[in-house]
Amino acid sequence: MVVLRPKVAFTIPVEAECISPDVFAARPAKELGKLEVLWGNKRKPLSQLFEIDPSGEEDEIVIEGDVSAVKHIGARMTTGLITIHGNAGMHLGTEMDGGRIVVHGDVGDWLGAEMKDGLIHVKGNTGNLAGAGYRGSKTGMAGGSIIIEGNAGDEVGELMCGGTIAVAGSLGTFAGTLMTGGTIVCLGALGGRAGAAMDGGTIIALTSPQLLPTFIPQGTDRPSHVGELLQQLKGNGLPLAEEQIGALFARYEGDISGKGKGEVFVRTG
Amino acid sequence: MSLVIENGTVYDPANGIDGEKMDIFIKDGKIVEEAKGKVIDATGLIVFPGGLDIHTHISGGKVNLGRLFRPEDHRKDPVPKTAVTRAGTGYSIPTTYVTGYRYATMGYTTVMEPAITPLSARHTHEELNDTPILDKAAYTLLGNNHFVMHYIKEGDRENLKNTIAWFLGASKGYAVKLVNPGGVENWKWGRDVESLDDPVDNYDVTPREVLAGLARANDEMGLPHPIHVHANNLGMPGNYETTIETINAVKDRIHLTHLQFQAYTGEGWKDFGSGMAEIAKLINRCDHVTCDMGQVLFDETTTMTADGPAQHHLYRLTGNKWINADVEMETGAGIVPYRYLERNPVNAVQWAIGLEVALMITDPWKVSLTTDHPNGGPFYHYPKIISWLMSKKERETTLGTIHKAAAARAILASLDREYSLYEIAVITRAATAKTLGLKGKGHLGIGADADLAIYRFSEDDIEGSFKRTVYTIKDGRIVVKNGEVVATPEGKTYWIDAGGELTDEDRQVFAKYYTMTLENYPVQAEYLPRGEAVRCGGI
Repeated sequence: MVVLRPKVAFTIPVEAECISPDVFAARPAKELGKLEVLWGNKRKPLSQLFEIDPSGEEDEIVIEGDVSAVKHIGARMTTGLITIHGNAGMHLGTEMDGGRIVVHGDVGDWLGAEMKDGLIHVKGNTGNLAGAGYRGSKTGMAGGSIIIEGNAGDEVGELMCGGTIAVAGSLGTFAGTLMTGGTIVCLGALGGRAGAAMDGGTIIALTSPQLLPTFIPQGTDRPSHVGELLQQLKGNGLPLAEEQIGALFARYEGDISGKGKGEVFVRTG
Repeated sequence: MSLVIENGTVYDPANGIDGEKMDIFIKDGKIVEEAKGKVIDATGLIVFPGGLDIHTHISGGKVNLGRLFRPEDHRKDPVPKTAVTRAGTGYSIPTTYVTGYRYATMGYTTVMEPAITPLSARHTHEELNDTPILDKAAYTLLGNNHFVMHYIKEGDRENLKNTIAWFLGASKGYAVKLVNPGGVENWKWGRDVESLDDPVDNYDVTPREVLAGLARANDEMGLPHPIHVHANNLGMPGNYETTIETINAVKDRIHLTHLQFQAYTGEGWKDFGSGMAEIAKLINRCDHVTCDMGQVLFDETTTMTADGPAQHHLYRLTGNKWINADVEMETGAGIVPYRYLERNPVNAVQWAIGLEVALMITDPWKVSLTTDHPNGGPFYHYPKIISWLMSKKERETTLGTIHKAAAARAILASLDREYSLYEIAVITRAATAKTLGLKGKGHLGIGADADLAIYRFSEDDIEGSFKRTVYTIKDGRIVVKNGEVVATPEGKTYWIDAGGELTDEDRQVFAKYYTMTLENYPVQAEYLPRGEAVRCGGI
């Protein structure tokens, strides 16, 4: 375990792609401090911004303190665990391909953007575009899971083609826009225009949303695969009651302004 | 400031110098007979004139739309700032600054933006002003221009020349550019032209008349560069016949640009093949034709051209995102991202045809090296192309990894020709400068601009040799040293000052149909802080 404690309160953004179990494990503990981060537009050694306390295995990183100005933590990580006791910045775990990130606090925008595998668990709220595709990309998140216990912002899961995003609180507008695969689960209020232009994938809403008129009702059912997924998410820490897991769902198909192969399940009882 | 480049092996085809050990003296930005100054020891290095690119989309409305359109392209190639350079991004549509740095690092010092619409010329020049180090010029799109087609239809040759002169001056352009003459006008009505004799709607002219009319006017005006032609039917199977007709349609000088895209046989994509045998046979017989390659590389890029219908065709083929633009009285444009794949038979044949352009046209003075950046691939892949031209082995290595159609349906595999360093200096320097009519460029004779590229050449790594210079010198100043940009002076912009005035009738048409008033239209000379007016006496 390597413990990082911010030495200063960051007032300008820091780019710290090097804070990743893959990068840490490839180096002797003594050299971790020499890893480079961008502090504004200046290159600084990690040791100048963080107190580094290595003890034992380096594939587990614990950050104690507020790193909400620190971007790209855990980017492209493939293994290990990052635990953050505090708020984290933008692009946390982007393009990650394995391992786990746990945040006891809030996270900025682009959480787990274009991630391929692994698990991100946020105890607080997150910004916009979690699990989305970067501007111009054809696909967003392709696999793995993002669990958010608080609320999430707009355009969550935009362009996603695989994996699962589960939000215990509410979601902003345009959740799952342009998605082609994967699943978004929202326990609280699902914002407007959810699933706009979706060509595939699934959105599960446990409170009744205002859907676009291009989503067509297909009947009501108690789909077993939805129940199984919710059960599994409960095991992962999502606060779900038994009656929510076994609930009755109305099924919609859409967005018929496109291919119309996506589906939205809305809890009806 | 003076410089002496000592003991380098010099390649200067314009002056017949083929790998001679000699000293070069530079004073006040020019090559001189003798000078004293800072000595650069070029022992063991090769010395070329600075490179020239005859056709590279680096600036203007459509290039910038391409930049806005492709954030994913920039994301994969961020460029940090250094003590002397600015930050920017690549990849296929680099920022203006990165464009300047990357060309200079490769030993290029003069580049031509080949397609400006007069209506967005101001923006083009703003970007050219922000493209550091390089000397530049831009070609004005006139092949689908209302006034040009009107006077060709009327047979009014004097007013045609007058119009060309006025538009070159108003857009601060350097040459007359034609893109799918007549076809882009028809595209505004959802149609194209399929042959040189198809009518252009509403104008009662044909592409053949536009080509011949502009070529004749261009030469009568004594413009330094021939008409610069992106012919009809670009990118279509079987279009080599159109290309041959295009050459035969004009008696005056003509430059066929990105010839690779114009040299296809076949009825469709299934029997798509190389038509370079016939085209090369004709060009080898003609003295009025020059061309550039338009080589494709197996890479992801952004295609962009004023040829709206061709881009629509590519959009339909790929299903990729697409921009289509109409430039009211003047032209159009289209942009589509594209990836050339090694395993795609059509792309593999295209790759072979590009090299055939350079290898089958016997006189290298008729050829310039281009990729039609970024259409065939980003310009900074030129060293790779040089390695294919200089080494049959390199070509065979690539042929071995790509779709077998390249060997079966193109002629390349049977070609043994290998370019010498001298010939490389021809197609990247001397011939390009000659075709452009830039007398101070592309050679190292007394009085020439002191633009030089000094490389460390190794037969075993031709690509690596040309990727980075040991020194790039621009106007007598060291701008790149050991592959790093060390200075970023501003370059010049050449434009044609041939006078010209709109007639009263033209003014009325302008007032009635343009979205801009005439007073706001021409780019003022003050807009080009380092503008160099080239006078020509034809009218």
